[in-house]
Amino acid sequence: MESVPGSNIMGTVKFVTDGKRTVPVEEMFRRQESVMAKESSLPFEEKIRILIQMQKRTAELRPDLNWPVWKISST
Amino acid sequence: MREALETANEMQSLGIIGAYAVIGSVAVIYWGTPTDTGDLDIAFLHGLESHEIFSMSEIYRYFDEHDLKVEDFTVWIGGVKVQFVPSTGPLSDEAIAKAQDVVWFDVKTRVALPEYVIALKLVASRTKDYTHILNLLSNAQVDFSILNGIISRFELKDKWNRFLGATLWGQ
Repeated sequence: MESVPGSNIMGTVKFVTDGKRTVPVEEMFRRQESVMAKESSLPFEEKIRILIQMQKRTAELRPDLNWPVWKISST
Repeated sequence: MREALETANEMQSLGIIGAYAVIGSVAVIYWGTPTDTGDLDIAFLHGLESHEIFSMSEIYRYFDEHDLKVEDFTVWIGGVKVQFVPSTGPLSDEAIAKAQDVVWFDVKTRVALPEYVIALKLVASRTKDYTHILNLLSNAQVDFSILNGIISRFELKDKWNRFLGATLWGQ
């Protein structure tokens, strides 16, 4: 995601783009907050599934870290 | 995850560790939103004074007897990397004592309350700890009367102010 040309990060940014469309920055923050609110209310078991996806991504991006990836069976 | 928690419960019932609580990033995930971590941290009571040194030999003997793979200071149990951490003093003692009973993956366990997770992360005060504190302040139901009491009693005011200064939280 990039800011629209001509904007800057010091308070005058009004729009951002994900490559397909532009949305107001305030709306983007609201969406982020909405996602976080949804994630925080997920069942713990579901959060652990998301964690394992994060671990896999880290392990792929940074193989030098030898990042552990958990395996849980009965979920 | 289930096997790891069952193992902790068995170790407690055998007296190898005392009462325990999940702390660290997994506690952050429970109270807040998912965040990347490699370890499930389990803090446990041991009954020693803070100046005494706790021996992990009985714990490692248990791992050995159960063919659990030890890696550095952690152990793999049922596909999860677990670190058993002896309580380091009054703050973590209290965090364990006041932990909440929960059921995760159909196993009864205990997790430190978010106010204690924040306090323990303030003690560490690494960059990732600040991130985790922000996660909890934004997403968990933090009781600030409890948090302020902990910060005061355990003399964490300076660390709290450094956190506020570094993150501009609340501004």
